Amino acid sequence: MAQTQQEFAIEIRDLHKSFGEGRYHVYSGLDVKIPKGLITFILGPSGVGKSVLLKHTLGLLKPDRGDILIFGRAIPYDKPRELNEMRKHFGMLFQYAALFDDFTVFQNVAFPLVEHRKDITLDEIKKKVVDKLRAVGLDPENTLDKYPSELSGGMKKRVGLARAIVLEPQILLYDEPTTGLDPVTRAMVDDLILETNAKFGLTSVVISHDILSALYSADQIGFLHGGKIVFWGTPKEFTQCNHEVVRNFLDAEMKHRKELEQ
Amino acid sequence: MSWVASIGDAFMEFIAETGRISKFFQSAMYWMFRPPFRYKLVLEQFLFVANKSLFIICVTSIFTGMVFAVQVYFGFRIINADGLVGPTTAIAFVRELGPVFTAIVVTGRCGAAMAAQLGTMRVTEQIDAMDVMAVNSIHYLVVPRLLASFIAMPLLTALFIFVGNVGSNLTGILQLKIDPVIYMSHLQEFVLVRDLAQGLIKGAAFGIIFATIGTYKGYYTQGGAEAVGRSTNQAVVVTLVLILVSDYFLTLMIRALLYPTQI
Repeated sequence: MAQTQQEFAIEIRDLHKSFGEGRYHVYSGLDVKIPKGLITFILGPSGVGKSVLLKHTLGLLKPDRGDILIFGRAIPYDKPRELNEMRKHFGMLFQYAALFDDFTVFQNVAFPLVEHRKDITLDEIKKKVVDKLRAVGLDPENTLDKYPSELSGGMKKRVGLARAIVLEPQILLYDEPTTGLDPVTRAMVDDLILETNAKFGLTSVVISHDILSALYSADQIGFLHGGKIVFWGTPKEFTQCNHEVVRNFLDAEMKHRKELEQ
Repeated sequence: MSWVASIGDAFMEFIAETGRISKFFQSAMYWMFRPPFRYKLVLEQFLFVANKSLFIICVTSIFTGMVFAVQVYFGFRIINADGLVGPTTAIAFVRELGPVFTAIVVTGRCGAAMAAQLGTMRVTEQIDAMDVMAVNSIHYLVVPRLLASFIAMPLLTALFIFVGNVGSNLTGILQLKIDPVIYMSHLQEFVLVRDLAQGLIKGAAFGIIFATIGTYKGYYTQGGAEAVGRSTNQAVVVTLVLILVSDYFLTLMIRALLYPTQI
């Protein structure tokens, strides 16, 4: 591979992690390299440690062994201030959006700006919030003053995405963005991932077990199994992969589709 | 031997949990003195802990004062010491009943609420979201609650002591017909400023205890809605035990500091 270190947004080297005093091994020597500017899907069955991988990337969990580099720099786990600075490179859309219940949509989206951009006025914050809500396809007039409990699942995802991109991060992480959504909202989220990545020139990492979303939106797909990446390649290569676990995963999805088509 | 092993396991878990709580508290202390200082959040939490507890503190303290006066009177009357009902009630309230009862009432209301709020935020990933947005969740969520409780508790304790003594006074003078002059003169003679200081210091200490345990249990909730309920329950039980146990040691420490000439 001709790519140099600087071409990777995230580089995970020989990651080892176990829980329950070493009884449950999640990773035993995981290596992942996420290139800049692309949409990378990390697929895998439930419980293989996909979300744990995101938490490691953000420095929310510390590896037992191994290195995680963000734009070539190791995560400073023991320096809380530097860790916070590093996290400003990231935006994240959580599975259920994780909006603050007591805040309105405006307060939710404005939260990172209020916390980190002491140099801008309230009017400028309002303008940025409105711009970002429009960028994710929401009408600010009808949503700004609403509370999360008044929004549909799809709208929550959009607000969560607006909040994730409001600080203009370089890397956007998605945790199971299409899980539990109806087909229309799922298609909307797939398009939103593509549009957001193109519009803001981001590096996107999507943790999912949704094969159709991955085939539709991904530039690259990694398949996580047994604490390691067992497949890495393009969506086309993924559909032709002969690894047993990947094949089972793909066939289970395709079987139903073929039966329905017949 | 299995019961020996289970006692050993429980003891080890107790030590480990104490260590985790200490580390959590240490982390809160680290962030407490780091900018930005979130005055608005402290004020919001202060209003929640203090302002919204006023009514319940007044009701519980006035009745505690009234029943205390009645019980003490019927005991002291036997030895013709009914003039000491006032100071006895006052000393009991100022030194012990005030801080301990206030802490118990406020733990039930605010400690439980803190555990439930933070627990819900944890299981719905709101705390993770805050950390991901480079806002330290201990700084934003835990520190204001700790500070607000530390400031509010001595004030609530003072209110409990005052209203409790009003209750005792009214019962003693109006119902039990104790001479008001005797009641008040003995009061000034027996109750000293350092007694009040003792009560207020204990109040502040209990404020730190219930806020630390409440936020700790909520912050580290694992699971779903059921886990939030479990955290809330544990927060209240652990806090109440800790308050009553620490009260004894606090009393010894405060006496050594404020009453050096007395045994």
